Amino acid sequence: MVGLVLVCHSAKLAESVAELAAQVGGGSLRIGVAGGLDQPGDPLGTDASRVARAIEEVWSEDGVLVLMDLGSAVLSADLALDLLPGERRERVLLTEAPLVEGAVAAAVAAGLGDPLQKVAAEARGALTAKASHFAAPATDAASAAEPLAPAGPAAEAPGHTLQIVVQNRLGLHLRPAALLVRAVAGFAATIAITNVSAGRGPVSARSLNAVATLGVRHGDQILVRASGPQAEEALAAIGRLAAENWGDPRESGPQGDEGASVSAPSSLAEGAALTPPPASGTVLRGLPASPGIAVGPARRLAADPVEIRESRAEDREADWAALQAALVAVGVDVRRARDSVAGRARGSDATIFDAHLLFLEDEELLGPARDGVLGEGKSASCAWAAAVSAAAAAWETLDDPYLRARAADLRSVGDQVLRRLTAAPSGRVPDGPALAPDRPGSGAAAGGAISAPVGADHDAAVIVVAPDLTPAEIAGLDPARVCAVACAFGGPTAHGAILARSLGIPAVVGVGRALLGLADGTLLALDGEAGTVTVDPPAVALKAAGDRRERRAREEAEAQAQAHRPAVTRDGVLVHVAANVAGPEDVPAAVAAGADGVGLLRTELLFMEADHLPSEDEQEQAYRRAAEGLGGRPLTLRTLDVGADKQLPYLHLEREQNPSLGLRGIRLGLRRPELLSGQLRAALRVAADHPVRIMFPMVATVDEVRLAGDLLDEARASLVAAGIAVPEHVEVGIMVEVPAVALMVEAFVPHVDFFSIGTNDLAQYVLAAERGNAEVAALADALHPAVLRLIERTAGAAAEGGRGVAVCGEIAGDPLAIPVLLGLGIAELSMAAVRIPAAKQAVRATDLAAARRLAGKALAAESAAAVRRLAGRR
Amino acid sequence: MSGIVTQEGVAAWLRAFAEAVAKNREYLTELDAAIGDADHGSNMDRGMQAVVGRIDGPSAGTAGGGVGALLKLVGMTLVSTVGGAAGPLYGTFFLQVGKAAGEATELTLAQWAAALEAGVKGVQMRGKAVLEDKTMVDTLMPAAQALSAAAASGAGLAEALRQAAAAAEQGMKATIPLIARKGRASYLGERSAGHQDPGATSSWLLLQTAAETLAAGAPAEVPGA
Repeated sequence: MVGLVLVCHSAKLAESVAELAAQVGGGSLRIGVAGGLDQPGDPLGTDASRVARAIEEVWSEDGVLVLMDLGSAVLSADLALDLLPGERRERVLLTEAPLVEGAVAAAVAAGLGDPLQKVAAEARGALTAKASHFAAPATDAASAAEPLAPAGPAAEAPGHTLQIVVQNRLGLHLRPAALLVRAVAGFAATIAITNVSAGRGPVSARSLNAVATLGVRHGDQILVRASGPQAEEALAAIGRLAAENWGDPRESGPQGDEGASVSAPSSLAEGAALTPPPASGTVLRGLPASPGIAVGPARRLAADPVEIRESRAEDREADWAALQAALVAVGVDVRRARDSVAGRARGSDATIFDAHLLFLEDEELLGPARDGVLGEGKSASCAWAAAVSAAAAAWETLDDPYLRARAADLRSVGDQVLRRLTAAPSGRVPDGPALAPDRPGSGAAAGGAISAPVGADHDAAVIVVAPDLTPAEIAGLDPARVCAVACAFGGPTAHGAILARSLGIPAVVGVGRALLGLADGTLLALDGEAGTVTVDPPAVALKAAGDRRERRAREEAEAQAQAHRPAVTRDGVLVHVAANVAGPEDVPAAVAAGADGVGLLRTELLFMEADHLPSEDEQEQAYRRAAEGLGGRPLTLRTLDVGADKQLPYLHLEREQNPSLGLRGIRLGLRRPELLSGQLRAALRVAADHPVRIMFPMVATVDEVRLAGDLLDEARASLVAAGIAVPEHVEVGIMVEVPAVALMVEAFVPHVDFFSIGTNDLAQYVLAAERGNAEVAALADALHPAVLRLIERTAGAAAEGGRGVAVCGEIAGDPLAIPVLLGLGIAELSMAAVRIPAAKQAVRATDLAAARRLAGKALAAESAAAVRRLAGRR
Repeated sequence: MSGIVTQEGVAAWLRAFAEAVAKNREYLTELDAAIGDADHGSNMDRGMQAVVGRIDGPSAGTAGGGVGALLKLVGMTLVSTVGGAAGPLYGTFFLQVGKAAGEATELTLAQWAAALEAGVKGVQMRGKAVLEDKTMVDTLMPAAQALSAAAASGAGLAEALRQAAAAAEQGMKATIPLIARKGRASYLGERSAGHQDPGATSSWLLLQTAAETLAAGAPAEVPGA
């Protein structure tokens, strides 16, 4: 009986294949294995002496068939023959048969007692079954895909060919190209594709970049040539893909109605980067984030170019490893994004991410990068940037504008990898020149009148289009160059949106991925109140936008004129409209905007700007300046609310897994009483001369208030003992951010003088959605009925106990939300200063009886969106 | 005596080669990383350390059997410890040189040159490589030819070995612009150009250490020893 020997780089592989073969070969089959090296650590490799030994072990006069995996296995098996006695060498055959299939087929034949030549032939033919399995449908697929008879020269060339007329509408753009590369990935074949129609190629079918650079468009004829053991299977797979219209939907009628039929992405659920850009006139709907109307060219916010500091690799291996790690990490990110989108979008839209993943594995990128690092000693980031740049440049030479635009996809993925490598923040604060107006003649100042029709003058500034913006990024926008912001993701209470409001930059968020498909320079009309972005607005829309902006400007002027008058509802109820400020510096602006006081003095900034714990005197001076700036208007001072996302290096706080739920606010103050005591003493000293109230943040339990009250008493006593003036009584209040407080207001009433509802954090905790997390931020909408119910509860219970309730979250300054809040029983609002004039106008427009009816409906609504609809209907 | 290759000289050569491989382990791996699978340095080092362990070990086969037996031991050690393609290739080289050297304990320059040629032929036969395929053959072949030519022209052993090493170095450097046609690097196609072949480099170390050590009995000549 013929013996078999398996030569593999890995002992496990050899043994597993042997096990598989033994199952079909019968009990008397002799199989020898030679896998791996007999060295410490079991290295992968092949050992000719082991091969020779294995051959000797299974030796019989009937001979031995040797199967092997690849590379050195072939050489080692070959050498093993030399190590055998000459007469035995004659009876040993080495075969190129595929290892697994060949071993199984040979085992069957050997088990049946076939002679060596027959066993070897069986092994070599072992792919037939698999090949025929794939070959059968290939015939159908090929005919469906209109294969042409191989041309003369093609027929003479070695290997197999397939000609296909590409029928899908956009040709072999990124997604079909990705499918193609993936389809052939598993086959042992050399596959080359030529775009016969365009005279491009041949290129390897294994590279996404290479295939895409063929520029295959609808109706182009491509020639696929394959050679190697699985050439036919590979061609069959391509044929099937063609028959499936390359994964694209089939058009029913004659094509020609251009983009309109495929592009109407308008919500978060639709539109991946591959979706053709939204058509002219499309109205993209998002969430209103910052009021105002703007018209201007889209400018996709370019990432800050990643600074590549090291051009040379200090340790090539380490740099190469770092690059590979970055590729893996970005792959994880991309997959996560894909999975996230797959849940919300049509299946095909998620496949753009598969294309991005292929970029990460593309030899056209990895090869040059590897050469750059390991060969030339470039740093990983330098070599990668060069590889990406070269590949993207190749895309950009293509005729098809659609394919050309894919360079952006490549650069985007490349950029992600670079940021990983250099640990660069994704910060994308634009520099001036990058955001300079497209048209030099379009006017110098933002806010130019929009009276002319399409194509005429628009704002000199641009509308920044971005996936999402962090507060730092928003803060970095130059209002002279940026007239509005549109984000694909995010919610209106995300910190970035809050900042946009306080900066007075109109913004719409949560517009959806379609936004990102817009080309730079596309004219947009953005309405920050309606939450809409109109693409390439037609004349009538431009006119409407212009009218609305004019009306808005008039309204603003009127509001500003009335800002210093009290805000009284139609039915005569006075509403206290105060400002949220971050320090004494903000007070003059607040007063100028018409603030009736400061409803929230955040003290964090004072601590965050210092590199040491500010002394009691330093604090006292800052608080006094704020109070003095208010000229007798009341000041509510909130004690330090650090922890969570705001850290103070000199406090050396532990990094927390879940800082929003961690040691922050009053919790930290009680844990580090020296912090709180100093602050309370400083506040008391100012309160001796000014109307100052003290408010504790992040309270959850009555005990906390009691302990904080004890500290306040101690502070007062110590000041008195030192002969320093203190007020007889200071009002003390708490923030209502933790749902437990809203549910237990009655228990707190005996211990406090007032409540202030921090609706941002309250919404975050009620809806279990972190505000800073773009994926979920939109959930934390303070107009959600669940949040409104807690506001109503708080207002009612506090009023019963004779305590005042303010709202100091973002919705306090939202004209849409103000009637709802007043209807729920809130009589004090505190907001970013810029919002005060409009908020006062909103109060003046409100009839309290009608507001109560509205609030009643809002409480019964099922979602924040329903509340917004109700409130917007007034 | 300086015209004779001795068994002790061969052993010294192998130790020097092992040392050179160890010293250049990272460099070889680096070269291999550019166009291969980044294991040539570690594989060769593992192999040559094993070789040194055997020839200096208690069961050393150097006592009897002459240069042929010694080199056969080296070849068999390499085929079972290197793992990659270098294992069977260097293994074949030493087995063939050893076979040609036979049981003698001393070889003339001409005999040694013939043995080296046999080794190179073995490598070519095993790897099916020809000149300019960007492999170790590009180093070994011109070196063997230079050695034979020097022997034919009546040069002394030391001079002949120097000429062989020089030819080896030239051959190694000539691999830089070549496009690989064999082995893992051939997968890279044109991108393999611009990189020195790691196998050609380790082969140069082999010839270079031969020039430094094989003209035995004259350790004073060994630079840096």
